[in-house]
Amino acid sequence: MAQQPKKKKLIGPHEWRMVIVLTAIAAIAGGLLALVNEVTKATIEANAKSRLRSSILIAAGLYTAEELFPAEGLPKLSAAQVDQYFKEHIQEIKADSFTYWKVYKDKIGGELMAYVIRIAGSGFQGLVAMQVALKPDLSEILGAHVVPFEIGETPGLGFRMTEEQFWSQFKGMKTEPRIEFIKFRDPNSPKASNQFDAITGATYTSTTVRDLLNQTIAKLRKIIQKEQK
Amino acid sequence: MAEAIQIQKASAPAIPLTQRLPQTKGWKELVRDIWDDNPTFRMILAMCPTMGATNMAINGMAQGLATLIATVASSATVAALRTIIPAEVRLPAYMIIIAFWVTIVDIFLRAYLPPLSAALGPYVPLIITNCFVLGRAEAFASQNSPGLSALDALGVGLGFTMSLTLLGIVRELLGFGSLFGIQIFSGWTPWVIMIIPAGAFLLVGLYVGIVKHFSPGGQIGGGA
Repeated sequence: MAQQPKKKKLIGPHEWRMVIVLTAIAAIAGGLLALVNEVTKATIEANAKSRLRSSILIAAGLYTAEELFPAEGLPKLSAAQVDQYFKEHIQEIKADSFTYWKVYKDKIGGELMAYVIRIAGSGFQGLVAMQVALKPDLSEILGAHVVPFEIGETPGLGFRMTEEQFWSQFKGMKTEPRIEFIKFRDPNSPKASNQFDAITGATYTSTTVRDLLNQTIAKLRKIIQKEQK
Repeated sequence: MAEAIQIQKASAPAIPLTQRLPQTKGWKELVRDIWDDNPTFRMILAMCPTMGATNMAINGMAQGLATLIATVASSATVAALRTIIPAEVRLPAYMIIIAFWVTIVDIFLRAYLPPLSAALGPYVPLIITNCFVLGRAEAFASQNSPGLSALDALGVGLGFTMSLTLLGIVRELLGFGSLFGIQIFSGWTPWVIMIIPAGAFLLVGLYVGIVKHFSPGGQIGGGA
């Protein structure tokens, strides 16, 4: 060792500066983001809740999709009005990680008009979800609705489940023995009351809807039977 | 001095704004970024949102505008901090700044424009990885004033918005028979290929050809 290199400090003032500047930028950015998140959190959650509640009202046949999810302009009911309607007519029930809604005709505790369930699961590339209203004896579907914004399926294919033509066909469908889908449904066939028309080119989405429907209705049936015992 | 400025101001309208404006540096940057260095059709940059978020005109436009806001804010911030950030850590610092602004845009869309936010899906958070946002920070904002950097970013953002809207218009017309959600063709048989990303590939190629034909100068090509 002829030449002893001068020992260079591993962390000099320049290196400290790098650490401090980067840490400061990250800390400020993180702090501001936390702040913005805190400010907007309530709005984001309220949006999702309001959409779900509006969808339940449509599924139950109390309002039309055009009234609550208009293509243009404002919905007929404000978020506050939807909440008010819920307070008066609809009871939300949570039973072992499963939520369903009881819709009453005049007031909560009065004449039961319908049960509403939300079916939700993963489809071909995103979320598949639908709100379904059932007769109090669960034998027949009273109506259904899909919130267009939350569906994650392929545009033009699976995403077509958000079209009224798709979800409106569940109205009047019998749930027993089980719901099936078919291509080109024949209304005169004896099985027609259990069938819905599949979406062309989106068999996976249709399968998911069918399975979720049958499973969720069976689940609700079990819970209600337990309640009545 | 004040008088001189007064005179200059008073005599300024003699030269029409349309002639004076093109001479400024900011304007030249703006035009170059919109047309000559158009990020989509010239540089072939940011292809991921170009394919993914343009199946409807409104989606393309919204994606372009979200990117525009994030780029302008990031470029201005980077330019303002350019003397403070040590060269060795500039890239991580830029990434934090860009991620910050994109997340802000994403949160605001989710809170106040939920339908649009849902339609764009993951493409808004993905602006963080959009190469021309970091590209403008590195190539321009790190050496220029915040004002000029913001103009430069505005040009790129406008060019991007224009390209995405043009793609969206054609894809929506052919794929859905509508334009900005208004039905144009009744009884239209949708071209499914225009709705899926493959249609965007074909269209981008077509547009690149058209731009090259009418404006042969400049180079085509860039990154992913």
